[in-house]
Amino acid sequence: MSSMGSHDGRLEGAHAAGVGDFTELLRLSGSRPVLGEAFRVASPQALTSPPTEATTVLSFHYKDGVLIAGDRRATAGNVIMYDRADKVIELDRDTIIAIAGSPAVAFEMARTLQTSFQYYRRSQLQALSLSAKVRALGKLIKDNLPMTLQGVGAVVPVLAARDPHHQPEPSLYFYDALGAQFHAVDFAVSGSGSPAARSVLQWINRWSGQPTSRRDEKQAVQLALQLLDVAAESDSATGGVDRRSHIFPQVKFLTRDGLRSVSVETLRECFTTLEAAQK
Amino acid sequence: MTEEPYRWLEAITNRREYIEDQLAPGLPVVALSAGPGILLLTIKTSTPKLFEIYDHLALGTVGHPADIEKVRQTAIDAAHLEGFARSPNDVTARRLVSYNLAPALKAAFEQIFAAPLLFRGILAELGATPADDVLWLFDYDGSFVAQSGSELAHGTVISGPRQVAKEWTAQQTKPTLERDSLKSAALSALRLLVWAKLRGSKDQGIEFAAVPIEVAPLKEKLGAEGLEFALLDRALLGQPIAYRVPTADELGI
Repeated sequence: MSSMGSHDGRLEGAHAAGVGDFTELLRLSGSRPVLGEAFRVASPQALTSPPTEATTVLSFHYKDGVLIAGDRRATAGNVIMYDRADKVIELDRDTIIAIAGSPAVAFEMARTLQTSFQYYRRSQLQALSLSAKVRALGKLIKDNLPMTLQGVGAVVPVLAARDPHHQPEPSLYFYDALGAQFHAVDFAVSGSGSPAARSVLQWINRWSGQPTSRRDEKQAVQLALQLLDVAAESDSATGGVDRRSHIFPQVKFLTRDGLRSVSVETLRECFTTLEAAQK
Repeated sequence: MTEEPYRWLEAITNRREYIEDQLAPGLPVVALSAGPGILLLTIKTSTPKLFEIYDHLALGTVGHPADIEKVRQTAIDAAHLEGFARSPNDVTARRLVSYNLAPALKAAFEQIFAAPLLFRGILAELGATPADDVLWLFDYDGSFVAQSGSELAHGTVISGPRQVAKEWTAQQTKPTLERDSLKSAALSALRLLVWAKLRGSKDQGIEFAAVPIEVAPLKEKLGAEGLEFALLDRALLGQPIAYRVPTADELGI
């Protein structure tokens, strides 16, 4: 039955009115279980397996705001399934998520949040606050705990967000697999290739003399490409920059002026400049 | 008493009369499909009457604020559930009105022992071109009608007094409204709004041709009341939010 027809001739809006919680509406309408509810039984063996996070997503503060980027590779075990995955997703005009972990769950989380934010804004006639958005993602991760414990559905994302009215400067947040949220002061990374990127970023911010927060837009894009290239060297599940097929990572900016995607042409130009400097 | 059919008919008739009496002071809402998008215009009151429902859907309302909220929330719930379960492209005004809002309103209207819903609305659906736009008029009793294509050239109006919309639709020679640009559409919508307000109150015989064509005298006719307006912007179609509130400068009113 269509979800549009399920109201069966009654004005049921009151059950969600005044709350604006889309996940609650989904539960009440019986449209689907909340993430993870269908998998309450975890196998004891699964607890010993580390969660899969095959990817690299990263973000850091630069001079004008925040850059958030991710490689494009999707893997299943040691098999490359797809080389054009979009892991950096705009949730609304002021919020970007970069996903690492199980794609099925991560994309569902992103879609749930996209709808939730719009639903709240339209039903309550005001935008969801920044802290509520940050918490909403943590709650979805926490609701996904059974899947995480089974080692098949862990999601460990990075979030870049701002509140255009109360906190126009963008902030970065990262999460653990159980849903705890952390405010990142300078950078946040996630995924199987992220240790390499984290090490480089720590060195840059402590010892390079040019921390990411002092870099301009072009320098920030170049650094993101370098970091993903380095991550791809040590992690087979990270795509990096595909020189042969000309597949570039996704790179987006979040600034006081809103969000913006970096075009493939700009990425190609930045990467070509970097390569030329090495010759 | 409702076991006797004529009693039930009497109750329904009384209910309709009561609702119409309650709605009668309601101020008009105009919807005009134009080149840049669908413009919704009404007279500003203490509570809003124009709302964003979904990516490409907007609602103009007349009625009691609490009842408007019920209908608005039902529309938003259904649209978002459908958009999430299937896709935003599957959320259509036709399905929303036919399968959700109209049956719910009809059921509420026929529950004669419950308080009635005081509601009248226009659901506007933005298309890729003005020819693809559709305006759905629906009422407290669950009745609804769609306007599309050449019908939209005349503008659409709802108002507290039921006869205002009827008289506008029933005209033998309907005036065609200028609507190529946002400013011309806003002026046309404002003229229709003034006509509807006068027609529903002190100047019931006024013809549309007699309505001023300048902004200042039009606003003078509205008195001290301000305007509430919203636009489903065709330039934003395909993005998550096509609904926006333009500035008065953009509209030239």
